[in-house]
Amino acid sequence: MKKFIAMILMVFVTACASTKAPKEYSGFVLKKQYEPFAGVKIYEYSHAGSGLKVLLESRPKSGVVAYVTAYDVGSRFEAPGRTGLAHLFEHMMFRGTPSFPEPFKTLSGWGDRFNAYTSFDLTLYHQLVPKEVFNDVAMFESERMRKLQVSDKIFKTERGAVVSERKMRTTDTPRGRLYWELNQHAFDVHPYQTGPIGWQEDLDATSLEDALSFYKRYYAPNRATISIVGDFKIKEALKVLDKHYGKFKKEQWVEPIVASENLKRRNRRKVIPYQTETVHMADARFAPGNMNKQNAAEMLLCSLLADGKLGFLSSELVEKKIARSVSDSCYFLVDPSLSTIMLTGYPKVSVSQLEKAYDKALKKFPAWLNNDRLEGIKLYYLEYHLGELREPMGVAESLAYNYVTAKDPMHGFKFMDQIKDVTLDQVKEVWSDWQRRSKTRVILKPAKKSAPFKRRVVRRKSK
Amino acid sequence: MKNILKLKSSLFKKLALSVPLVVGLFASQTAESRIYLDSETDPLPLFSLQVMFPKGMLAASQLQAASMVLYSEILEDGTERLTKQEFIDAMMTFGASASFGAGRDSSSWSVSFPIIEGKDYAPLIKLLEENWKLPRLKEETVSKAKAKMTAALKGSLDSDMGLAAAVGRRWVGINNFGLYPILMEGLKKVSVSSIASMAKEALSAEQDVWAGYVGPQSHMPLAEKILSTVFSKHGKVSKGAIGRSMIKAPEKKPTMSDEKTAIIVEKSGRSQSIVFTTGVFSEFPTDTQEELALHFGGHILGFSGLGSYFGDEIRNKRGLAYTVSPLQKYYLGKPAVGFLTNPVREKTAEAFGVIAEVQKAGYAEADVFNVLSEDVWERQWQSFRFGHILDNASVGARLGLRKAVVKGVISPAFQKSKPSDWSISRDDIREYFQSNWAKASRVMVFVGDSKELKPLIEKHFPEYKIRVMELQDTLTEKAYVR
Repeated sequence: MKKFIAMILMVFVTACASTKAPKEYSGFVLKKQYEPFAGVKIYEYSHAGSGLKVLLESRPKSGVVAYVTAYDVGSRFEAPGRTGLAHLFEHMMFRGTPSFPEPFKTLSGWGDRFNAYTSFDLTLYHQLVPKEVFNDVAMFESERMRKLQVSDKIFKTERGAVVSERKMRTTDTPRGRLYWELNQHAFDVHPYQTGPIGWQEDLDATSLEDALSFYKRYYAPNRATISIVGDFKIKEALKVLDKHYGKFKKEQWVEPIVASENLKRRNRRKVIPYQTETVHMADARFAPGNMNKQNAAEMLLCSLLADGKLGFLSSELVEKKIARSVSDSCYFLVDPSLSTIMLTGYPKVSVSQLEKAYDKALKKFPAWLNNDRLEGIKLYYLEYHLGELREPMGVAESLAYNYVTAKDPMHGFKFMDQIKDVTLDQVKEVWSDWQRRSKTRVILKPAKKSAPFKRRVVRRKSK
Repeated sequence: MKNILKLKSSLFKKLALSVPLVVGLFASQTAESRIYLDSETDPLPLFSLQVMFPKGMLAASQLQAASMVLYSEILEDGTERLTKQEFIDAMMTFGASASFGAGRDSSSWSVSFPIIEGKDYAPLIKLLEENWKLPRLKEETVSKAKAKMTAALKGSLDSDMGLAAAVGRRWVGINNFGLYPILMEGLKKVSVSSIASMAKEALSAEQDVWAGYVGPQSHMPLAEKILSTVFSKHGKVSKGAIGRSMIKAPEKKPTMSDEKTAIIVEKSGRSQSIVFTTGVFSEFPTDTQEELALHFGGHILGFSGLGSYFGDEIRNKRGLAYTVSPLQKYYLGKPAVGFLTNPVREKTAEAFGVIAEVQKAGYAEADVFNVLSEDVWERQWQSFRFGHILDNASVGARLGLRKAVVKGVISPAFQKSKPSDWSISRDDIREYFQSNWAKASRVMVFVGDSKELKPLIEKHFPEYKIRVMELQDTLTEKAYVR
């Protein structure tokens, strides 16, 4: 594996030209510089006045600029009764600033390569633009960070689109409903209990005032990380950023209290009638937070167990016509979350048949697991993530995402390093631990009519 | 890494022995055909190679089309000698994935893996060759593949948006192109011999194939070696872009109809009313100006995303739906335009009114192109050209643009043209859409409760003939017979 990494180091030497980065430019102070691969130079700056964090990588001659702004707020900070607000607000961010009254049209005019997402832990906005409009993008992003303009009419219109999104992603889609119910039943008090799309009645009750107060609190420069990769010189980029963000000031920040979940409790199983053709099942264990040292081994365990094509359960259940598909959903959030195996049953396979076959298959997994398969699955993991780095946007997103969620822009690169060092014993150890953890199993059982959404009683503390 | 390099020696001895014996599906053919290898180099140590066969489901018989769809499952099932698990294990030692896919106009095979410095890839080449030439084509594997496909078809009924688009595509395919894609009746007829026959005819070694490689320059010879070994019957490897379409027209010409059909897929208790609308034009654009009209017009209407005409009218101004997804597909070079959207059930009536209006203004009368303000026209023009620049900054997209020429969906002249030379008037675009939409074969698909939807369709889309399909029937050919 070391040879493989060495190859990466070599190619990046040729891919990136050298560049000069000032130690200080106006209020921007160089904090650190990184070189995850030889020749790839990433500079981390902090703006003294505003607390804005900036990551820059210069790729001369690429002709494009990938511009990412990540805010340290996701549904994790939402209060009861106002779930879905972080995501709803993400939509509002496309609704107007003094210089850009119709952002959709502006962004479309820049080549239409933009989007945003809201997760449990962060909200991230990204644009890929020709280098000619770099200054304009910075101006737009700075304006919507501090000078967003939204009317009540626009708020209600955008809320309509969000309601439609909720129905599409959660109400009428078995996989979406399964995820929703899984979180609902796995967590009692932690905000991860509710998916970022939020409850319908909370969305209905949310007002423009709620949205503006959310904006003021969470969209401050000291809550933001900007990551830019592309065709510019570092000093030029700082000049652009200084022009548009240089006068921003820090906002006072009081960390919301996020309730801790009790991770040791009885196993749970919930069957929900749903209008679907086949049984859908999610089997989850609590997973550690994103800084846990065992995560690389757990990630590989998940793939070995439940990768849709290569995993053990696929060969055991799909090949034997028990499950139509098997997949793993293992990722690590700021707070402990869930490592989940998802199964879709074959037509006419009952809930009990699927569960029985699945439980039986799990017992055979240790005999199937071996070192060759572990080393092979590592290659697939690395291939996938190196593929993400092929484009400037992949790097820009990785840097900003990891800065916000792990407080370390290099966390993603370090995780790839950890992956290559995982041993079979470590995977076996995590497997033993995984089996001992509290379990949540949610099943959608085919029915003529779907059961209505039902809130579980939440006893979480919130500020 | 040492563990990876210690390959299962017995497995590879087996492979090594097998290679001289490879005669397989394509052995009886002799060909003077060629493999055209196009490429884009990229420094990251990732190897991606794809091969395109210029015959897809539309140029095949019903049985061939169904057999072609199942072929991906057959190839995943290993080889005559290796079981599926043995094949997966052997591929895993390289972190390699190989797959086959059947498309409307063409079919494709691809392989990808991370590059390990100093690794001997000869065993991988042998493995891929054996998989392609000696797949596990037996009663048992065909039966398993059929069962899997049946399950997948039934499972597809769960996704309302996917279902609407699939029903629309099937309607167009069956009624305009005589194609019976993978549906229950065709699936039942697939057998070992139908698959073998499909492989010899549709994937015939007597035809030229296109290949595209993305990866380091240093591994270009490996791409050539894989092609010349796995697809040895397809002739010599010739490097460079082809710059012409390779798609084979079917022997029987498609019959286009200007009938307008509205299909309601009966599904009650849904929270959304899905709408899929499409019109298939009767011909590929006759010149590059028409091609520009199609692409730039499509950009203004839908492909500039939420800044587009459809996105603005349906979502931005009224919040009627979250998704306004534009479509531009090709059926043997015939463009099909339209969009997919998902208004919430409570706003269905309002949404249908808006959809009828935008469809009229965008396609039927196409006067939207004339009423755009100068600012909007300029912005869309800039967006269109910037999009081209951004595509050309990505290695995958650059190769994809050239592949589109080979697939026959972009003309060589248009692909070679420069954005700085593009120029078109509003009238040209309006006339193009107006005249082609008038002759287009049109279908709209709605998913929801027919009692609620039927009166609304009659009101807003009176020119469409309504047809109600039961959910399960959407998987049968008989439901699509006009």
